[in-house]
Amino acid sequence: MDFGNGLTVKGCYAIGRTLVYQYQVSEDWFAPENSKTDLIENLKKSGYAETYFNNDINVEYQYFFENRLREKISIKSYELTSLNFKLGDYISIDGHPKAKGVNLKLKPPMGWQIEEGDRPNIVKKFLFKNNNYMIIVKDNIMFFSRNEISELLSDDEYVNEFLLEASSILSNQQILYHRIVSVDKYPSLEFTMRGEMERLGVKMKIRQKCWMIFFEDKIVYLQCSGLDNNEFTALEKLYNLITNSVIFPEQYDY
Amino acid sequence: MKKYFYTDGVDKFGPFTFEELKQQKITRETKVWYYGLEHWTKLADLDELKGITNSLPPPLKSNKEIVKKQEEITKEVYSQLSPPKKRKKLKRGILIAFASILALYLVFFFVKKQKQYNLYQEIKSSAYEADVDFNFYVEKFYRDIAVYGIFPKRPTTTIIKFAKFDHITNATHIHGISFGINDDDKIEIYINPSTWNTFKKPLRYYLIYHELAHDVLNLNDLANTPENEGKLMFPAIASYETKTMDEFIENSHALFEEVAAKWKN
Repeated sequence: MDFGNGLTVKGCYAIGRTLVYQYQVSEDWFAPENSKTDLIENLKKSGYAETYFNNDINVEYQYFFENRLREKISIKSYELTSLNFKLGDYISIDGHPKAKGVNLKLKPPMGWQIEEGDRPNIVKKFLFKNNNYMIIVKDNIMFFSRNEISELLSDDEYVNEFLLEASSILSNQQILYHRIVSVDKYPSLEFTMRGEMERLGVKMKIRQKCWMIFFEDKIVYLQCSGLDNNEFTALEKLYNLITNSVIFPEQYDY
Repeated sequence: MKKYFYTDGVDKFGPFTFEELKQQKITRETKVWYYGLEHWTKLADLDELKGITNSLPPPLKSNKEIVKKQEEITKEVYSQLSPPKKRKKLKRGILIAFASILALYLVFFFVKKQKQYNLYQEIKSSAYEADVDFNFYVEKFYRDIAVYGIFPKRPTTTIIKFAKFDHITNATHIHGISFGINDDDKIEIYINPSTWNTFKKPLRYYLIYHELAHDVLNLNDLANTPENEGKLMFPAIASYETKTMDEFIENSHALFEEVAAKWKN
């Protein structure tokens, strides 16, 4: 097939979950600067993106001049999501009865529903289809300074205890990774896990990404959950953006 | 042959020959006379009767003399053991000085107590219920010290109020005061609302934990010296305006560790 722009189809095949399209190009052909963005946009417009995304299908475009590969563009299935990664204006939980005195503000994802938590420690939750991002505040056993908590988090035994406790909400749970990070200068434990949850007799495979932020004498959980699928992987980027917007304003007040 | 007479002071005896006189019950002190001697003279003073004087045993000392001698010895020994009069005087002087200082101290103490009592009455009468939930801080304080193994008696009475320190003479500089120290049945703390409202979160925690440490743990202020700056029991916490919550937390933990070590002992 000749597209009339110097490109002719050479072939198409699949390796595992990746579809590979091969093209012949003319000698003077070079890939445009934003070719990957353009291809993703084209796939979205054509409607294929959703199919690829939902079925976890990656796409790869290979461009040959004669028998030499001149260009290769790989698109992972989660890059084909139509999800919105834009954030809204800051909202604050200061003075919220369930915030237990924690003053925190963050940017919620645009287009997501913002709701009050219906369970005791859930201050706010952002909902989109089967996905949610929750702000949970729990009491710690006492005050901890940032230095003290950093020291505690350098102890693997202590971290494992936290992970064990945090993952107990899922059955057959598996911690995929964890690391110590800072969320607006407060030491935090970031981890993702997968496990199972049963609702009305239906078992679901769940993925969770969580930040446990140690703030004075509280633990703030920023907990993101969803079905264990490609959508969750795509949303991780959004979850990172939301958490990255977190501000504990009091620390800048003195 | 020469004849000798002697007298006992009342009667006169003699005449006696030298040999007869020698046999008499006479002593060196016995007064003797013979013809040619102008006065009655002590035997010991007569050279021609030396033969009799030498034959006599030495005189016994009288009881009086012995007692006198013993007294002298005792006095000497006593003088070595007991302070001389000068020392006694010094001792008396010290006692008087000590008594005077004690009296002064008691007066000072009484006046101070009276002043404290008056201040207490003034503060108490100016106190009013705050719109701040101070119990929130009290619960946190007990929670934190419990983690360190400190379990003081929970008093049945807890009074934490605002008091108008700004309207009381010599009290405008006070940010808070505890009157429940050494009284395990009561927490009684008064907070200056003016300063409370200007204090930021860390300083509020510093103030309340400081007063609770007085009241619940019966701790006194530390000396107002640079090495104590930053500590929870430092008396001039108004200078802590720039302190952070992290500093408050670490300093309160340092104090609780110290107290816990004493509790274990």
